[in-house]
Amino acid sequence: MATGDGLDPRQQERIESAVERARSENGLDVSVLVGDLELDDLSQFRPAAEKLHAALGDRSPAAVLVVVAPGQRRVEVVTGPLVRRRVPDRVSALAVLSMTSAFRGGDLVGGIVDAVRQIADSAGRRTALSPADEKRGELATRADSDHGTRGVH
Amino acid sequence: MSNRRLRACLTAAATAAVLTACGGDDAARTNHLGFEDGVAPAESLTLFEGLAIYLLAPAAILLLIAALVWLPGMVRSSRYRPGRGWGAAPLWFGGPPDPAAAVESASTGDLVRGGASGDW
Repeated sequence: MATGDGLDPRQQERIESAVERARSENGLDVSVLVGDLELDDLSQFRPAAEKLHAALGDRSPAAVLVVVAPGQRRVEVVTGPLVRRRVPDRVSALAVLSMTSAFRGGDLVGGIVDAVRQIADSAGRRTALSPADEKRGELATRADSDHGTRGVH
Repeated sequence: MSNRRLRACLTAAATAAVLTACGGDDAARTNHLGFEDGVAPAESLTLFEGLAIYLLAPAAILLLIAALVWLPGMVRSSRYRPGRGWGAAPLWFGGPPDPAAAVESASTGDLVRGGASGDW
């Protein structure tokens, strides 16, 4: 691959364990998507991220989604209406700020892990959620959708 | 007065004697090991030995140090570099079991979502 090699298994594990910790210790449903979105225009990034958040289905209202697009250099935190009390926009903005400064320095995984930690800490402790069904999912290439995500070309 | 002069004469004589003993004459040009002063007793270096000692050895040391500096960076080649693009397929940690299908059928509805955006 000529550009970005993706995450190696150890890096994926670090993100996974951060997500799992947020679920088990803070009872917060956090999921992280790392990859570029297929968009005509970067101004569509927020709607696309909200659509991904909606794709969480029943979990969506109480879920936090962090979308990191390393190629497009955009990051988006989307919170459902039921967690906005626990994760106010101010907290999301701080997490985004710490992520962008880490990403600018080339620390992709560290930025993500710290931001998840930050969001989870501010959300306080609740009863643990069951572990996520699917720890890691890979989105297939879908050329027919406006807000889909992009696979390897 | 004469006492002081006598001491000066004695000092001069002693100094002359020591200097003579240290090899003032031609016969004493060799040192106590039997070599002529300023000459090494070994055979001269061959061309290859000279090259090995003065060029190859320093070059090898330089290469070793350079390798020690570069290797850790090569091992961590998966480091993210902003501006280089991102070719890998998207990964969703803690996402729905079938992300592609879930995104396909998702609709944002009328939920009011919060959050924040940023770029770098």
